[in-house]
Amino acid sequence: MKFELLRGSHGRLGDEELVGRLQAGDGRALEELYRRYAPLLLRYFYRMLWQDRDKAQDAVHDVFVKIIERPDRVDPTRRFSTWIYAVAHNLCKNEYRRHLFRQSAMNGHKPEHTVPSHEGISVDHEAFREKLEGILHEEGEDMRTMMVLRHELEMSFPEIASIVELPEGTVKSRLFYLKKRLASALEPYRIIIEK
Amino acid sequence: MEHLERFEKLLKTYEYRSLPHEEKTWVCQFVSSEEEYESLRRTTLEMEKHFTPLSLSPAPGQLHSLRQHWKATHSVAQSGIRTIWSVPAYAAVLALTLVAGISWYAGLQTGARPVYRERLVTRTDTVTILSRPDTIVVERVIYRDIPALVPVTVSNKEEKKDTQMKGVNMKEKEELEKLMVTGSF
Repeated sequence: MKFELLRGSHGRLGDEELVGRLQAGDGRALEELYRRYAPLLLRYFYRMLWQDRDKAQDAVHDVFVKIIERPDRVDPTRRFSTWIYAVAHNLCKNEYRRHLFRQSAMNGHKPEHTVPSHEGISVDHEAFREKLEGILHEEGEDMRTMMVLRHELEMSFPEIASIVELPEGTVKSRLFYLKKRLASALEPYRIIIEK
Repeated sequence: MEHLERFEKLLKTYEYRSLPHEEKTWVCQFVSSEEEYESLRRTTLEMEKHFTPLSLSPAPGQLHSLRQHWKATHSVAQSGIRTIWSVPAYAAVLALTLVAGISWYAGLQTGARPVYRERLVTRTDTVTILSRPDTIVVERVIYRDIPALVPVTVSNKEEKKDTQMKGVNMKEKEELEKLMVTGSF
């Protein structure tokens, strides 16, 4: 309740109204948008950027810096949530390209994604995670984005389609295909998972 | 793929054996066997576990840093707007009146306007002078300035110039005066 009072009238405004105020130079609108989207974006970036917390924090910061520097670039024809995730998606694409370039420059061979090991996770989960990461790596950043948006942020298919700028049917069939691929890849681990 | 959401829901909720008969028929558009359904179900459940919401929160100083960045970016533009809009209405009206007054006065000084002024217009007459019986007739041209109302469209500067240029034929005037007094040269 107290928090709501502190947030004032901005807490009751819709995203698009906040964007309008932001473009008119209202700094509190930016703070409200940050409160709404920073935690979600952080989860998204964490999943997308090799589960690296620091990288994810930096990426969230970068998205909001972009908004601060050019608030006029927020597309008023699209929903703000769609627009901000599209920006995040493009930021990840750039990050993958940079990562690929760094890896190839340093090693001179094919880059590999290194996912930090998680202590305390059982063998079946570890196997699943490895397979999932491997397949997502092979499928590319668009597929990873779709997967994260669907399963981490529980977005609807139309929303995902507008973020990755693909037809809704394509998004559905790609995600279904990915699940099938993952299912067949996990067959050898079936007994362990069932335990 | 039209009803993928419904299929996903069934995968999460039911084993193949527990599916109602009509649902078993319906899921056939997505899978070709019971094994495939079960395999997809296991994967779906595993993905749910994998994607359990993370307990991540933005770095504590991040919002503060963004606020600073906002202030730094927008302070220049905002200060410019404030200096314009913080002027009270009466002061703005006063300033506008002053500007209008100055403009009007400047217009008076420089602008041309039609006026009627009394001016000396030069007329030319010819006089024949006779002195004695054996005289020599002398003809002289006389220039006289006669006042007349003439419409003029000139600026004040030009007027000044005109008045300065009036004494051009002084020599002839002198000769004329001599002639009028003495009747000879």
